[in-house]
Amino acid sequence: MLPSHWPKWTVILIGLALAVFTILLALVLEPAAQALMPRPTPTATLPALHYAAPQSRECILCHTNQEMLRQTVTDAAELERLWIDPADVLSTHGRLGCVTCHRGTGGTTDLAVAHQGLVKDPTLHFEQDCLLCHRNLPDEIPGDRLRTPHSSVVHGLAQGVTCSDCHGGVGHGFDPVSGQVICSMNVCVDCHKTRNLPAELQDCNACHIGPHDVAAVLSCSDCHTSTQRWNEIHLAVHPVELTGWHAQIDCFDCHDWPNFGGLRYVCSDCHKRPHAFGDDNCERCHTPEGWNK
Amino acid sequence: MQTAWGWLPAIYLFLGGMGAGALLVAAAFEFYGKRYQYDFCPTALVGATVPGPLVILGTLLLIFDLGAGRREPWRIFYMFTHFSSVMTWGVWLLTLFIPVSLIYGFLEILDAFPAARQWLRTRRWLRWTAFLWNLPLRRTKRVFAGIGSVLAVGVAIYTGILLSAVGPAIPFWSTRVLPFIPIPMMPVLFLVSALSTGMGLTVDLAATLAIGPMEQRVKSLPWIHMAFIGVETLLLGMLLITALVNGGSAAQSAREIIAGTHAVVFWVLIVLPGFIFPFVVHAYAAGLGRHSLVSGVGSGVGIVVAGLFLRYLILVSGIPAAL
Repeated sequence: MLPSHWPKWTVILIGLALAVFTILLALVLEPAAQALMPRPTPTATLPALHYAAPQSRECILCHTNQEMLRQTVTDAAELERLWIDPADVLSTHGRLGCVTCHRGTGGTTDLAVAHQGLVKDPTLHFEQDCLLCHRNLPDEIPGDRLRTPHSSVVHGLAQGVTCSDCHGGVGHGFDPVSGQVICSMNVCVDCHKTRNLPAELQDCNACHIGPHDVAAVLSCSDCHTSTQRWNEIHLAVHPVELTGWHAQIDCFDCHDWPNFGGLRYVCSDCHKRPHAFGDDNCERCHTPEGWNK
Repeated sequence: MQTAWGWLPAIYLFLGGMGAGALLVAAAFEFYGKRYQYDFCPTALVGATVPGPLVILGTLLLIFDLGAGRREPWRIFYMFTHFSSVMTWGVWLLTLFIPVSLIYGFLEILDAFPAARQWLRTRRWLRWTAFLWNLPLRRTKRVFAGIGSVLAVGVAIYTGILLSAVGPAIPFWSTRVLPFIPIPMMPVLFLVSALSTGMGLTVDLAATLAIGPMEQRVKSLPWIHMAFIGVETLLLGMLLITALVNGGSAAQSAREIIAGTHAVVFWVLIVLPGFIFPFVVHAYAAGLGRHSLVSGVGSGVGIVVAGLFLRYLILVSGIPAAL
């Protein structure tokens, strides 16, 4: 116990001293403890993000102002390309600051100095800047019926495919998730074909998750004829030849979604007989060319 | 291992946690009446007075760990308005906790040392504070102990929430309590560890040094202490097992702690002094109703030292997620 002649408040100082002593002890003991173990090879750690929104003020002042841009750019198309919508500056990516991704030199009005070391497409050279935040990338987007093998993104980078190939200019108003066009299909397909990859990686199924469970008997292109619109179809295989109006109606007017079950062969399953004479065998009188033929 | 966060954040986590835990222990003594059972209560005195300075020191270290904090410390004020950020929650918690704990400590000193109160009352330059001396001291102290306790729980757990929020990048930090329970382990572990280090400082060390074994005053204390050590052991074990089950870089972090590059720190500087030795000391005290001065102080120092190393180890063993 503490000597009786020591004032009682000494215990407060001892408490504070213990905290300081603990810190000093730890700083001494930790290297000693680590020295007993093999030193680890440092793995890639989080790269320092060049967070510099305040330094991007001059970039924003110029690139959001068409009058100022016109002082150095005359071509209309180039002007359009360089102009940034002021609203985009407030987007999630915009708020990171221009120089965070595009480098260059912030905080200056000198055009040459500002653009020194500028990187037009950051993802081409600094893909780690994207991956710093976007670490949980989905391999599938069920809502869009898409396979997006982001976990193979390292493969993509090695092959020269970068984030912006699919996601475009995310910092400039382009919404990579709900945007109109997320990724041009030929980015993947052309590359796979050029490199003569296995057939399954050149097929629709490489990226698309089809709704029909008929892969054992049909491939997508047996019916779907367009790579632009999924509902452009050609009935390459059908057990019954469809002619007339029947060739023009949607598959699922006769078949059940999504696997073409519940097929109806009898006209009266779909067509209601409007007259009392005759029976349900409509083909006695009518042809598929039309009800009046 | 991640190298962005090292000793400075670890020391801040430690000081913040121990300060919060110490205040909670003092407040518990206050509310359960143990504070007034004897003339002098070293646990309440240290638990009330030490948290303020500790958290101030930790906060300064945190500001200086931020690159901008060294060059432009005023930029910390930008962090007050970003309410979706866990850091903003922390800034507000610290901003409120520091003055409340300082006032609580000041009131405890006035209560414990009537001479200090008398000295202040007779100072001419403090005449303008005369209205304060009419306030009921103990009731006022209880109000600040209550507010401080709520803030202390926030200070103790928010750092764990902050770490788990970084989880997608460092999966070990976002390890769940159990794989099927979607609650991150870090806030829970940090809260229990804060209470444990707070007890180590205020009970094992301060009280043992000032008045001898506290078990003679509070019979259930060894059992409470053992329960906290047991819960902390359980949580730490669940953290490591869940991380191993999760696989990937979280499992790699756990393997580095248990049998890898951090094994000596874990077993020799955390488990032995912070779990095994204090548990044995308090089990002995529970059985025989006493323990020696050396074992009591040793238990307190061991728990506090292990508390710092635990936070350091959790930080440095984080491994970025593999893509």
